[in-house]
Amino acid sequence: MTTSWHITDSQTKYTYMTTNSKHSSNTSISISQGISVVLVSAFIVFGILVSTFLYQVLEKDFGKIQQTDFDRRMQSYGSMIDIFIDQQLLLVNDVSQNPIFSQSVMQPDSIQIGLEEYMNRIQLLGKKVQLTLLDFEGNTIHSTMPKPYITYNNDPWIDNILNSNQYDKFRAHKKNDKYYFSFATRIKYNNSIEGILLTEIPVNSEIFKESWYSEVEQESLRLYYNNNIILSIGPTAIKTSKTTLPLKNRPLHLDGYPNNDNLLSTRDNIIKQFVIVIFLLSLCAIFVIFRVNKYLIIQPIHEIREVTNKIAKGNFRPKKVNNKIVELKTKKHRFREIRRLSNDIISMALIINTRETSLHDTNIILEKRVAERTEELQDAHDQALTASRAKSGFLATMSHEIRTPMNAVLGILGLLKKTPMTNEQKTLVQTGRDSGELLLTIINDILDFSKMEADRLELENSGFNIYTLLESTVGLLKSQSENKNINLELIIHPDLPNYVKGDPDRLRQILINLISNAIKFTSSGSIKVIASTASDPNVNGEFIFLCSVKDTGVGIPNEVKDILFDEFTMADQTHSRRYEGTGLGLAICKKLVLLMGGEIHLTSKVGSGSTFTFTANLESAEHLKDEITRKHNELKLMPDPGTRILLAEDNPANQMLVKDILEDVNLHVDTVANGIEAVQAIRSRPYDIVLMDISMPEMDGMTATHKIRSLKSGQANIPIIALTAHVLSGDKERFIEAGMDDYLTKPIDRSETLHCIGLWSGASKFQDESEEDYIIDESSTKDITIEHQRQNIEPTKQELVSETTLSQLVRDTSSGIMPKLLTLYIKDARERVQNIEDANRNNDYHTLEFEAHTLASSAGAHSNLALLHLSREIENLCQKQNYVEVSELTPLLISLANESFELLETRVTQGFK
Amino acid sequence: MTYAIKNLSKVLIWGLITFCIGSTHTYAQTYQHLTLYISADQTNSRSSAVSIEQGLRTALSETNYLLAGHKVIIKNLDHRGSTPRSTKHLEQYIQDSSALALFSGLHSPPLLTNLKFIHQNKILVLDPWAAAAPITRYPSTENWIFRLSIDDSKAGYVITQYAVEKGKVLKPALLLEQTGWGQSNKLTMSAALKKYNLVPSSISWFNWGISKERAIAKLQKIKREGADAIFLVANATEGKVIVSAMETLAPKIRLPIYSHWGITGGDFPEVITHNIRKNISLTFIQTKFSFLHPMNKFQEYVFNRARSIFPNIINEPKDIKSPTGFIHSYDLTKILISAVNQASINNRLTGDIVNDRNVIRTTLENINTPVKGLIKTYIRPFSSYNKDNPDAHEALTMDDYVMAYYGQSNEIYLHDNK
Repeated sequence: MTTSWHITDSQTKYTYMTTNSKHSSNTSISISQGISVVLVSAFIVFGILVSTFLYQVLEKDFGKIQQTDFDRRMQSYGSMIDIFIDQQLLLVNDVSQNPIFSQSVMQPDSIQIGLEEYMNRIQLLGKKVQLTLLDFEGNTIHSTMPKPYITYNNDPWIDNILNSNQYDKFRAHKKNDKYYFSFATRIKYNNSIEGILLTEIPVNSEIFKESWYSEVEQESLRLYYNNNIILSIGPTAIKTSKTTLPLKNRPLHLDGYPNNDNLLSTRDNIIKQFVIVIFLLSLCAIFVIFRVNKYLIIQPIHEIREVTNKIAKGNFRPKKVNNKIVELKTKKHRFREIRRLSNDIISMALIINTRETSLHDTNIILEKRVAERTEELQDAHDQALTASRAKSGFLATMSHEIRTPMNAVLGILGLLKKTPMTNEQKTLVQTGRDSGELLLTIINDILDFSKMEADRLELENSGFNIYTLLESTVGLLKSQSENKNINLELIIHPDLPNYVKGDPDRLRQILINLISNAIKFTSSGSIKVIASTASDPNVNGEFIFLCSVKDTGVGIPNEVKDILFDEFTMADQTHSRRYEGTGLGLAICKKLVLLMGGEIHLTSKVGSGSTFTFTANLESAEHLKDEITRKHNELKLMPDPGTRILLAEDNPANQMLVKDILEDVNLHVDTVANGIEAVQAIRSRPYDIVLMDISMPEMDGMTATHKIRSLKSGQANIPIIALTAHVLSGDKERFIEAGMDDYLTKPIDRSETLHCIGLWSGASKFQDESEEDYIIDESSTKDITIEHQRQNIEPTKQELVSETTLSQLVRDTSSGIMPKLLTLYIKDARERVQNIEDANRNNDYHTLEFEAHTLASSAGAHSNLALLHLSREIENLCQKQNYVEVSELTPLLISLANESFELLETRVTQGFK
Repeated sequence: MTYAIKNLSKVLIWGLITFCIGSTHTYAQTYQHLTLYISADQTNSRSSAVSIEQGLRTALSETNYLLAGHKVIIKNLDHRGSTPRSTKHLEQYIQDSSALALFSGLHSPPLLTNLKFIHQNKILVLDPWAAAAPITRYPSTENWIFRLSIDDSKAGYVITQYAVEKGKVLKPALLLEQTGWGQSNKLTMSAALKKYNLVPSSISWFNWGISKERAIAKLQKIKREGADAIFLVANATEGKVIVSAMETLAPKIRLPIYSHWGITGGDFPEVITHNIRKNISLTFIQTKFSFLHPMNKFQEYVFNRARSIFPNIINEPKDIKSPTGFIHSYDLTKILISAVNQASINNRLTGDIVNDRNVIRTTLENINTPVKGLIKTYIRPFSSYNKDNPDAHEALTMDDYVMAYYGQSNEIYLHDNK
């Protein structure tokens, strides 16, 4: 609670500070900015005020001028109209004087004598005049208009002209939605009114002639006739005050609206120019003020800031700062505030300078001390690391060295067991075998532990059936417990998932360790293995596996409980005599459990028993059920008894081992030593399956396979399984391509071999689960075959550098360490070969024997099998004091050694898996 | 079935009713009065119109304003010489179911323009004056215009004959009004001159309402072109302008005027007074009768009758202004009365005006009794018109024309043609 409050508090503070700093950076502005803002604002305000004043004054004055001008114009428009009307009346009157009109109104058929031509000819100022001649009733006699009325019979104006003394010679009227001026004159014949000559002119801007420019947006005019609007020109949207001009003696008046757009735009232009000038002036003023500012305020402040920055950064060189300060001191600032500020900073800088100098000296001393200490620690650390590495390397090498002969011992004992023996002999062999197995277990433990120490142990992550694992493990140890009359019981909680992902072998190792311990320390009673879960599976299916092994044994005293899981520890030191063991088991268990993300605990009471409980993180893998089941079942295939097998294998030890495995399950096995024999055997006898070694003398497995496949008999299709020590990527494809059906890797795995044979011979039976899987190491049989090897003058490549041995070595150590290990070995071995050579020259057979022995051991462990055999032979010859033969074989050994080393060096460059 | 019978009976009944009404109407139809129209220029050639009316009334007074027993009304319409106005008069006539005949005036154009209209609407036109040749020669089987006046197709000859033979004219200029009348005279005058192997020195046209200035210009031009006389075709209005223009010219360049009679239609002698006329040689064509010459008994009777009808207007022969109108309309009315009587006696008048107009028209073409008139006694004055009988509707012949002149008191004296 308190902690969380703390965090909140400090966060809040931090936030506050951030906000604060942000805030201040937003509001603070530079002096130049401030001045410019004030100046610009002042100019803007000034500009706006002056503009507004000008705006109003100009509008008023311009308005007056415009009104005067407009009145004058109106007068001019008025007289234009007057003149226009007078002119038209005059024209029509003049035209009507021609007697052709009076005759035409009297005798309309006289059109044939030229009325039409005459009327069409009449022009005014080059423009045709629209004339209409009406008779006494107002009927049209002739008209030059495009679409004349046929009659004006019902027109009161016309009627008035014809019949009344009071008449108007001019009018405006609407015709086809357009207004026209009509100008009429009576046509008289002998003083009697016989017709009318009429001219009609559309009312439009032409009446103003040149003084109206229609393309220019000038004032707008409305012409009224008897208060009806007959002409509207100019923009309609003008909202200025109107001026009315009545036309004397005519029922016309003219309304005019001056257009002040021009005025306004002129005014706007003036104001725009004014604003621009103000703006430019402002810029100049700002510029000038800035220049002044820069020298009087900003520059001094900037200099002070530079000095303070230098001081703040702390990376100052006192002398330089002093110079600056001196510079600052000597400057006379015009403003009192700035002068005071600079003085304050000068004194502050001097104080800081003094402090910094002393601090700097202290720092240097401290740094020196720290560096010394660090160096010492580094040396100690390096030494420790080197020691640790040496230990691990030693352990790995040693374990391997021990394992190799141990495997051979166990293999031979196994074979021996199958020979007819007396009971005493059998007991002796069994004891030997048990001891050997115990020794192997101890060695394996040591190897595992050393790997863990070196952090080289990596867990597998594969799917398996945990029920099967638990049951088989318990089943495996059941015989041991039964021997001691202890009841071994397995209880599985139903919540435990069936199929899980993890490292089954390591899990089994933990269980075997714990159960074996329990059996070991329990003399009567029972052992219970309880498996369950400590948690439900999470989203990823991960769960905590919980397992307890409870015994009714001797119990463990409290004082050793804490160190029980340390290496080389036993509950009771005195017990070490009674109970065998390295004391590594629980340490390994603890390490493995930790690797699995779990814990291991112990509850115990001396005399009434102990309970070991461990947890491990596993992953529920129900989806892998099918895969796991299939794998499990496949492995169980068992060839039918009596299946005929041809084994092509040149190595007698291997021949013996494989034959032993196969005959053990009642299979019929014939062996051949090379490819030629294999092909002959296939030809002469029927076999169900062939196990074919790849590298054989005379004819290798690939060629033999090819020959078999090209046979014409039905045997050509016989299943052929390759036996090979080296499986690199692409090898399988190579074998299949050569016509082989499958392959098995050496060392031969019994179960896998049987399964493979069963698969290809079409078996339907399954292997007995309880059957023990064990590995027969090729190398473990080598010693027995020395005699055979000796006769092989040309050792095979496999014998020069054994892939099998290398694989085992990788398994025992790690692939990473291999190159170093092998390089070291080669270096050491070369020395020994040199020593052998020297000893031989000096006839120092004692040294030669020793060196040969050492070389043999290390050559065998590092895959130079041929070298091993020859060295051993020389050693034997030395022991037999057959020095002549030793001298003969030594050059051979040297050349073989060189060849082997070269090959191994090449192999090292290829890398290890 | 019953429906068909019903329908049939209905049709029969309605047919009977219609017939009865129709026959009753026809049988019972009669005129309350008959109307004689005068459509003439009472404004610009007023004297001619007045004179025509006087002649008409004088003749009608002899029958107490009765025609075939029906009272006769005279409607006097003034077309002022305007064709459009005269057309209105013709329309008015058509609408009038008592309108029997229409007396035209002095002007030819109103008739010429409306020839088609007149014949289409079967308007019975009696022409006591208008002289244009085509007036009586409308190409149609029924000719509806009857003239008792000078015929232009002959007038030109009479004028030319007189001018050449008596006036010794060799290079006359034709001065014609720009109308159909002028056109027709151009043809006859040119033809007449050709007979004497002469050609007009020039042919000039003028419009109605010509100003004196223009008239002077024209006359000067004619003179310049070498004319030794002017053959004038004009009415009184233009005649006055032209003659007065001639009077304005220097005596040396004045030309003798041989005029058609149109100038006598208006107030010509009153405006162109004797003082003016004495400076100018002016002769014009007339028909061969004048009250100013010694009269026979019948002619005296007529004059006295006229004097009794218009007591304050006519006292002596010279009071009859434009006597042509009086004389021609008197004679023409007498022929009309004769025709109506002839039709009436033959019971051909039905009371249906449209029918009766045609009856009178055909009767006019077939008058079988001589009609005594001022100019002569008319024996079968009209006949049925066709192309080979172009003068069928002309009551007068060339022998009835004579040249004349104004006296001091504006009276008209006839020259002796011979």
